[in-house]
Amino acid sequence: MDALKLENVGVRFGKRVVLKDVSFSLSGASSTALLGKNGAGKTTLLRCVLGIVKPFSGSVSVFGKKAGTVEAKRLIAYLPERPGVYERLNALQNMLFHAKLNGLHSEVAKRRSEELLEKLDLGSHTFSQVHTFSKGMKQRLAIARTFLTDSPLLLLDEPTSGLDPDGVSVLVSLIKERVEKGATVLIGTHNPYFARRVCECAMLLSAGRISRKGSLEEVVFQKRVRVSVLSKLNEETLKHALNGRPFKLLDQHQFEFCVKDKEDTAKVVETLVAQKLGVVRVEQAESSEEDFG
Amino acid sequence: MNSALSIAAKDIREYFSSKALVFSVVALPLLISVTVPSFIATLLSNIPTQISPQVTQFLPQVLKHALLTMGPKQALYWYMFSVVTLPIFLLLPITSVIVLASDSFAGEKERKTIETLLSEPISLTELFIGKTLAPSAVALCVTWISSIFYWSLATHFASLVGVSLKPDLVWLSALLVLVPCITLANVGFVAWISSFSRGFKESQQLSGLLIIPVATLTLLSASGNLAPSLSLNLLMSVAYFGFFVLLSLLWPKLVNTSRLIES
Repeated sequence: MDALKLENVGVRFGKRVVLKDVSFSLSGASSTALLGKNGAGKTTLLRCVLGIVKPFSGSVSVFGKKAGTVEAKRLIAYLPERPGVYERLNALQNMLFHAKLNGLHSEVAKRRSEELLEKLDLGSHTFSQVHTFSKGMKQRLAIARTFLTDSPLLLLDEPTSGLDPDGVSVLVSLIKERVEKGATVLIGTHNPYFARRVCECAMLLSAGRISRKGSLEEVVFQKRVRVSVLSKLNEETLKHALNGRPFKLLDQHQFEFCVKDKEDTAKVVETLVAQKLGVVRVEQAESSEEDFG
Repeated sequence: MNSALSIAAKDIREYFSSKALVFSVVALPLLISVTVPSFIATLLSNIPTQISPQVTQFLPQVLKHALLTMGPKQALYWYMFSVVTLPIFLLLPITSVIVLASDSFAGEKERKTIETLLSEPISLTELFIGKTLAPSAVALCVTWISSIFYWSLATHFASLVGVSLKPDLVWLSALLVLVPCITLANVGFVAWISSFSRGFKESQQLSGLLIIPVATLTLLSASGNLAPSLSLNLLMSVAYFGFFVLLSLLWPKLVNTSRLIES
């Protein structure tokens, strides 16, 4: 059974369409990165899975249960973009409140909370009021809360926000540990380098659509080739020359496109030469964070 | 229902972490419960022992009945302490916790914790009831404690003029049945406004509206036009409780969770 299944999901806020026809499914022990620029719709998609945002079209199910129902939410652990911790309570009280709502036995909850707080370097702050915490500490507390239950589906929205390198390392180990135990993890992030540490698969969300899907290397870190030519270029010429392959026009004499391997590169360059564009240089460049979308 | 209780317990724990908040909730009711009987006792200490028949005909019916069995001074003490002041204790649970009730959803929105709460495995009905229970519990405790103070003083002052005063069935039904129903309905209504308003201040301003019906009752009672009775208490209890049930049923259907997060 799919841990998470989205079919033709569309979301709009007023007239603005935020998600368009989004379909994918996740299952088994896996961690998938949901990548995209700010405003691409990552948070909205995660909120859809929780049932907080209602889609105007399509359906979302969690282990076959309709998203937003209590039964479905029982199977999800969620780390929101903002920590959402109670500042007038102490760290342990925050953990125990979440444990209670999730039906965790109080003794188990206390033991696990203390272990997690210790792991996230908050052991000495167990009884400190959260309003005295720094931003990073609040994020670590939110992470501890997320990993408190044994939920089989984890949704993490920008989990590295405000974290120092040590915090990120602990988070990576917690995610890996959970995947080893069989959980399905979906991480909304704009940081491909963090995603590379924990995810095998990735989806690129661009302007509300899943524009790329596959292994993280394919989606994010695939090779790009930069070509310089003597001829003056325009969008139409390139579309024709590259036979519909996506490209990025850098200036009138330079453009980039993605390739699978060396053979693929050679094939495309051969076509470009045959089209008499006056190829003067071909160089390889790795995709970067800025290239998303 | 366990989830609703957990939410209420969390909210109460949050209230108690702020001494200023506790003081603002407790101060006014306790002050009223002490000053009102003292003020009445002072006011009545100088009244004449005889009332002329011309004056008697303008007195409220309840007081006229009392005058048949006791002297004018005793009847006035009984009337002021047992009849006129009762509606004040119907106003107390509303006025004392308006701040807490306004903060119920608006506070979660302002402190950005509402998203976490909405992601928890609880139904929207449980969430609404949970957010209503905490201010209601505080309001009830404050009102009941204030009424104990009030009755201790009222009994003392009445005994000075030879009147043996104790809370009758009307008072008991008001405190034990009507006050909880009024509290739940009003706190529920404020929580409802709080969930649809943009922030704490807006919600507090709008929630001031709900004092109107109970304040009207207080004025009617003080003017002698409406005497509290057991049947009136029960009738009002049913109406207020029905209103609370209606709010609890409608809120999950009408609330827009994504708007709750965005605002």
